[in-house]
Amino acid sequence: MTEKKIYSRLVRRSLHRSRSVAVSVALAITALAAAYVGTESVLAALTSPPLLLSPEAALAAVDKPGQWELAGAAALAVIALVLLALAIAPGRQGRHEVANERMAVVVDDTALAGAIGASTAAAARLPVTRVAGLVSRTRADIRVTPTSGAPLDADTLTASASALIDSLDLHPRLRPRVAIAANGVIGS
Amino acid sequence: MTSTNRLLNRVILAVLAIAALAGAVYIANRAYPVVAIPTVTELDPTTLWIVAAGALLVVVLALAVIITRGRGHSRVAVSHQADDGVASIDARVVADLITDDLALVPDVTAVTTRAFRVGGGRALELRVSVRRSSDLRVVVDAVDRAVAELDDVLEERIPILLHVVSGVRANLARRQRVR
Repeated sequence: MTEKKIYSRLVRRSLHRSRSVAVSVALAITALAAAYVGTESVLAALTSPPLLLSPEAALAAVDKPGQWELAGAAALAVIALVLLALAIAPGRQGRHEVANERMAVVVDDTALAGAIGASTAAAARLPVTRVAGLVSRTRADIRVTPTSGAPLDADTLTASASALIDSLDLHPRLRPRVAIAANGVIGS
Repeated sequence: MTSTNRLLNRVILAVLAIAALAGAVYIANRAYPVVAIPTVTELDPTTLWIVAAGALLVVVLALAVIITRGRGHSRVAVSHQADDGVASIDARVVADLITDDLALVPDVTAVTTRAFRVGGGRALELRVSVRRSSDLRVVVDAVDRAVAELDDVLEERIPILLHVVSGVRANLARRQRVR
């Protein structure tokens, strides 16, 4: 594999969640159920008394479903939907890729939100505690609480956030949106 | 980061989902018949043995898949093969080298490494914990320089994945005043 291919593989696998835990849990439950069915079948084949329910009794119960059997069917349907969602959903991890020549670089969105918040706070000359950042896949929402009597310009702050985002060369791209609170505060 | 086949994971989940759905639909069809499916009332011993064998097969396959998840980790980051032996460097040595180089970057609180096999070779994951509201450009550039020095020391470019995290410990760490 070329270095470029290895890096794209590393990044792809970091940006998406592995289903190994879900698969292991689902297969463990399946294995337990199969072991039980197998045991009952062997006991029935040897005409020994069943552990709980003989295969023929189980088939008869399913043949004329009562409340319990229908509840079981509903539970099975819910489990099926959850498994299907796990199989199909992209399973994104809340991370962004940073372009770099030597390494594959992946940054957690929480770290990214902190960095954008800090640079916005510096641009607004406010303490970091007055700026809150939230980073999703394509958007960075920044909420700024100004000091009373010292109005802030949203465009300037957006430009400073954009400059930081551009300097990191993120993928997927992030669009910053700065919201300045209508009511400022004094102190803190 | 392991060498687990992720497509296989998805396929297994989809197959189990379809099996569960089939069971649910079968019971529902018995309660509110839409399609006529012949009923099975008596099971002869041959069928029972076949069912038991199938169940055993399912158990064995399931255990085999569970055991093989998460393979591909390795403690060795680099290994040099020569005529008279093998020299290998542990991933923790690399972590120590990088940690040393990053000691002067105030935003970095911890560095851990994990090595794993990828595409026939080895790759190294550098997990760098940073303080909240740290300058990521500075952190990434500092790691870049540290890795350049590492390349000099190892005399080899190993594929590196840098993962910048802001963990709980990093958030609780005291913020250093520089301004």
